[in-house]
Amino acid sequence: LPFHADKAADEEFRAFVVARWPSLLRTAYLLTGDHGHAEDLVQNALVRTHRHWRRIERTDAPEVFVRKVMVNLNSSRWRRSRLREDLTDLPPDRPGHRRDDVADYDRRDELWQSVLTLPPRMRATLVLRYFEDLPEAEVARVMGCSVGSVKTQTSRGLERLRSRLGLAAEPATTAGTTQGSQA
Amino acid sequence: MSADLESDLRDVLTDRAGDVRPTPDPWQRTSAGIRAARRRRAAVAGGVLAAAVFAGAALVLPGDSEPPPRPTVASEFLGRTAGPDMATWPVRGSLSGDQAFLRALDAHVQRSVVDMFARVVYAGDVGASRIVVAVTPSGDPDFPDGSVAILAAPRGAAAASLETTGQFPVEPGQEAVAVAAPPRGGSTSYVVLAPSKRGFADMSARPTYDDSGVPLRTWRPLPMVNGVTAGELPASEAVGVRVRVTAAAGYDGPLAGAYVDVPEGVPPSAAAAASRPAPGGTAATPEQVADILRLFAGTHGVRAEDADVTVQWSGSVTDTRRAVLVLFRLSDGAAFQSLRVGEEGPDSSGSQWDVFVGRPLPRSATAAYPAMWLDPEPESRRAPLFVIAPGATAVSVVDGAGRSLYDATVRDGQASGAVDRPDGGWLVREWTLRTQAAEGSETSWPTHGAYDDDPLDLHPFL
Repeated sequence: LPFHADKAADEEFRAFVVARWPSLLRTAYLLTGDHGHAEDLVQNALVRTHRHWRRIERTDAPEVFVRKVMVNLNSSRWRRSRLREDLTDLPPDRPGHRRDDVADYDRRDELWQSVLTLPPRMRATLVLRYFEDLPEAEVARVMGCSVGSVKTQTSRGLERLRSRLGLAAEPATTAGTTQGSQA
Repeated sequence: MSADLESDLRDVLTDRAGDVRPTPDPWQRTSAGIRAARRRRAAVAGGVLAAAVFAGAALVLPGDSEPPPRPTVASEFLGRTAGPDMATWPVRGSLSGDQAFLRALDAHVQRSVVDMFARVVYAGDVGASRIVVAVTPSGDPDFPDGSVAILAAPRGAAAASLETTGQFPVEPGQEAVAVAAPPRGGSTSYVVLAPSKRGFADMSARPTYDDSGVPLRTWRPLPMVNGVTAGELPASEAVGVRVRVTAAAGYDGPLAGAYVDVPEGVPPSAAAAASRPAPGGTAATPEQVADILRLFAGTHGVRAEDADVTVQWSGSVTDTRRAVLVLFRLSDGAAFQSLRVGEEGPDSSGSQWDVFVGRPLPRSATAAYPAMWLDPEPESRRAPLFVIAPGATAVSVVDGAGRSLYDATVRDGQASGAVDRPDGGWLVREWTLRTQAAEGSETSWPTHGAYDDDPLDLHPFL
């Protein structure tokens, strides 16, 4: 399947796709909350990456580029559709679980559902910070914004989650992630 | 769940990510997406010019030589080597002095789906629309000479409200652009850009067609100030417009992005066409025919209900590809032909593309008028060739020197095979398709004639 005249570049791109797809798919799922949309998102991001592959691979950070495209595409999709799927249905109780386990499961699910209600770029900031464990500077690079903006988005995202979960507001700043506390 | 929200968030995200089902074949899915995107871009970019893209007819593919010079004004602008990169153009337009808007616009373009390396070269309000033109650099395998993207929104809109409405390849030798925003309030706003004040331009409205299907045009000059002209046209007249810009290398083509809205639904003519038996073995649905009709009507500025529709052929051309060939006839007798091909992937994904949309045919054309197309790969010496020839029993293709390139028996109105890349690239305008009928009569369908590279003159290309 030769796409570029440069067969070596084709092979490198293919190897990149095969190696990084699972990781990208996990991130995409957390960005979209839907398996089908996640696969579409990774596919679309890689299609766009392919168009610039020879330029991107020279940067030694092709994955940053793909994640950047994924974040932007997901934001665009969200803006275009404005679709809000019904995310409020709770899964049935699991038989055999103790009451505490069920309650804990419900609370975790509530947290996940709350994450899905965040605007896409705010959600992306939290996913990159708390799932990918990227430093703020790296998150800023992926998001195409300043470190200050990452801090603000993180802080506001956490505040929104606390508010939705009925938790008390954080009284003091924590590790540089709570600058600006307005939701 | 602990009281530490950040810790809980880490756990929840990790748990959820662990639930993701693996994709069976990521590379298959990615490569299918790349192919589909290429076809989509080419189809969107060319509109009716898509025929040339897929037939390899008038366009020069990467690595190919230039097409032979044509004895027309248009040819003076085509086929030259590319001039200075459009990406070096300054920003022009009524908003070019609004630095705050341009900063917001740059961020939006970088973030948007156009291209991360795109550069804005025009921003302004034209009529009811706000139009931004951005160019992407050369080197992209899909757009070897770069591309032109159009972003549009209502007049006065914020930068973040601009939507990408089209992206079109820059052709070799092209050094000017002519683009249109989507119709707004019954009007279409357009912008023509040349590299400098040296450029001048003229425009022809939608053509009429002579008996042989050749477009006839009337030209009027466009005022160019600092290499720019902009204006409005009634939406129905913007499609079929041809713009010629003379500059260092120039441009000769349609208003990229021009279209008219065609109402949804299945017009009676499409339903009637789908209900009549057609060769090929697989009936086209009314919705398929209606969709092809709408695209023809939208790209040619005609009312869908004014076209008489005939499905010439509908069936499979390979195990995974289906084709639908449709003939349209307007009340004045003008005839047009559209060909749509769809491909189904192994994972039930699919894509479709329009090999050509409403190419004009002679008024005498009937449902037996054949179609031929190539699917050339720039890197390959061989290209799949497909022929649809309703009623024929055999077909052959010969080059300009009379050498036979392809011979095949026609089954169910269709034949397919492969041909070698001709000397000089995938140029088929000098080829001739010959069909043989059951009673032994042979008909030649020449691929060149009295044409002048008109964007709507696809008659020479089978």
